[in-house]
Amino acid sequence: MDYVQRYIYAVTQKLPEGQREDIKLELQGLIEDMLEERTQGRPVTEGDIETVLRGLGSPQELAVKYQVRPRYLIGPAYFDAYIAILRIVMISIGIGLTISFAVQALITPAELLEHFVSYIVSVITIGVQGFAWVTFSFAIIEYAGVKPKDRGASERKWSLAELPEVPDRRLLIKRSEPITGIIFAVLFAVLFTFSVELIGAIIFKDGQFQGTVSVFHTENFTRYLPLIWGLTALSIMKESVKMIFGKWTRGVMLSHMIFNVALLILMVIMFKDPAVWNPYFMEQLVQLNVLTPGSEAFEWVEGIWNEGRKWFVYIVGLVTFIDMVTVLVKVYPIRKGSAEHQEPVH
Amino acid sequence: MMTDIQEVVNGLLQELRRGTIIIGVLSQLSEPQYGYSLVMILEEKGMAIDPGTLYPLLRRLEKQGLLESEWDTTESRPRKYYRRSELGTEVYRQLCSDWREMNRSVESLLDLN
Repeated sequence: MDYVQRYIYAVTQKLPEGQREDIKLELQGLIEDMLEERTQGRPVTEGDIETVLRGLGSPQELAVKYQVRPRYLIGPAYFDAYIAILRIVMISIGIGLTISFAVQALITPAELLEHFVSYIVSVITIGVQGFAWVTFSFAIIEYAGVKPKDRGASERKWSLAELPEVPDRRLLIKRSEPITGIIFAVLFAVLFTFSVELIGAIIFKDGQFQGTVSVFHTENFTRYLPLIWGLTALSIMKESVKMIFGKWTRGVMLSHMIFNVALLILMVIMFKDPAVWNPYFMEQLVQLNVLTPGSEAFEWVEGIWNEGRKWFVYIVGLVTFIDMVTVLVKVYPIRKGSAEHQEPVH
Repeated sequence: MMTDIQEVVNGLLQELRRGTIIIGVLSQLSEPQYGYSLVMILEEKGMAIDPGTLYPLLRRLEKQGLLESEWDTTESRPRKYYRRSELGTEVYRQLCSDWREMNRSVESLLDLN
C-alpha cells in the first residue's frame, strides 16, 4: 500500500493546498476500487498495484490534468519578445564585459591572466544574473498583462469600432530604439559593477599608463550596486514594453513616464549621497601630475568638479524631463489628430 | 504505410472523442454516481474513459456549476458522489438537441460521398 500513498502524494503535492485533501481521498477511493476490480477478492499483490498505478499515468501528467491555471511563467503572447530581449541582453553583457576586459588588459598588461580569469567568472555570473532579471521582468509583465485579458475575453463581445486602428507610421517605435536602450542599460550596469574605477580620468603619459582617477568612491559605491541593478532591471522593463507593443499608445506612454520617474527617483537617491563621490579626486589628479595646485587649469577643473557634483542630479532630472516632454510632444498631437481623422468614418 | 494511416486516424479520433466525453458524462449523472462507477457505466455503454481523465473533468464540471457533489462516508470507503445540478441539466438538454442537429448534418454530409 506504500506505493499507493507515495503515488497520491506525488500527485497532490503539486496541487493547490485547498484541494489536496479532497483529491487525496478521491484518488484513494479510486485506486482501491480499481484494485478490487482487478483482484476480484484475491489478495492484492505488488504487481496489481503497479498495473493500476501505471494505468492512471505518471503523477505529473495526472497533476497537470487537475490544474486549471496555465502552467507557464511567460506565455506565448510574450515569448517572442522575451527571446528577443534575452538575446539582446546577453549580447550586450558579452560586449560590455569584453570591452571592460580589453581596457583593463591594456592598462595593466602584467595582470592579464588575472583579468582573464575574472573576465570568465564575470561572463558566467553576470550571464546568469541577466537571464534571471529578464525572466523576472517578463514574469511580471505576463502576470500583470494576462489577468485582465483572461477576465474580459470570455464575456466581452467585440465590435468593429473596438478593433485597434492601424497605427500612424509616425507612432511606430523602431525596434532599434528599445534595443539601443537595453544595450546601454546593460553596458552601464556592467561598467558600474566591475569597473567603477574606470569612470573618470584614465591617465596616460608618453603612451605609458599612469593610473585612473575615478569620480566615484569605489568602496562606498559598492553599497549602491543593488540599486544599480534595480535601475537596470527597470530600464529593461521600460524598453521591453516599448518593444512588445511596437508603437506609442496611451498605455506605453504612461509606462514610459512611470518608469522614467522611478528611474529618476532611484538616481537622485544615489547621487544625492555625498559618500558616492571620490573625496580625493583633485588630490589624486595632482599626484598623477595632471594638474599643479594653484594653476589656472587646476582652478578650472576644481570649479567644474565642485559645481558639477551639485548640478549632476539636476542635469539627470532635466534629461529625463526633456525625454518625457519629447515623447509627449511627438506622440500626443499625432494620436489626437488620428482620432479626429477617424471621426467622419462612423 | 498502414501504420501511418492508423496513427493519423487514432489522433483524429481522439480529438473527436474528447468533445463527446462531457456530454456522455452529463448524460449519466441524473442519478448520483461516484467516479469509478461512472467509468464502469460508460465503459459498458461503449465509451471507454481513462479514470485519470474523468476525475479531473468531474471537478472541473463541478467548478463550472454543472455538477454537484457530496461525500458519502457511510460505506466502508468514503466516496464522492456527483450529480447534475439544475444548471447542468439545462445545459445537458441543450447540448443534446445541438448534438442531434450536428449528427444529422454530419450524416447528410457523409451520405453525399
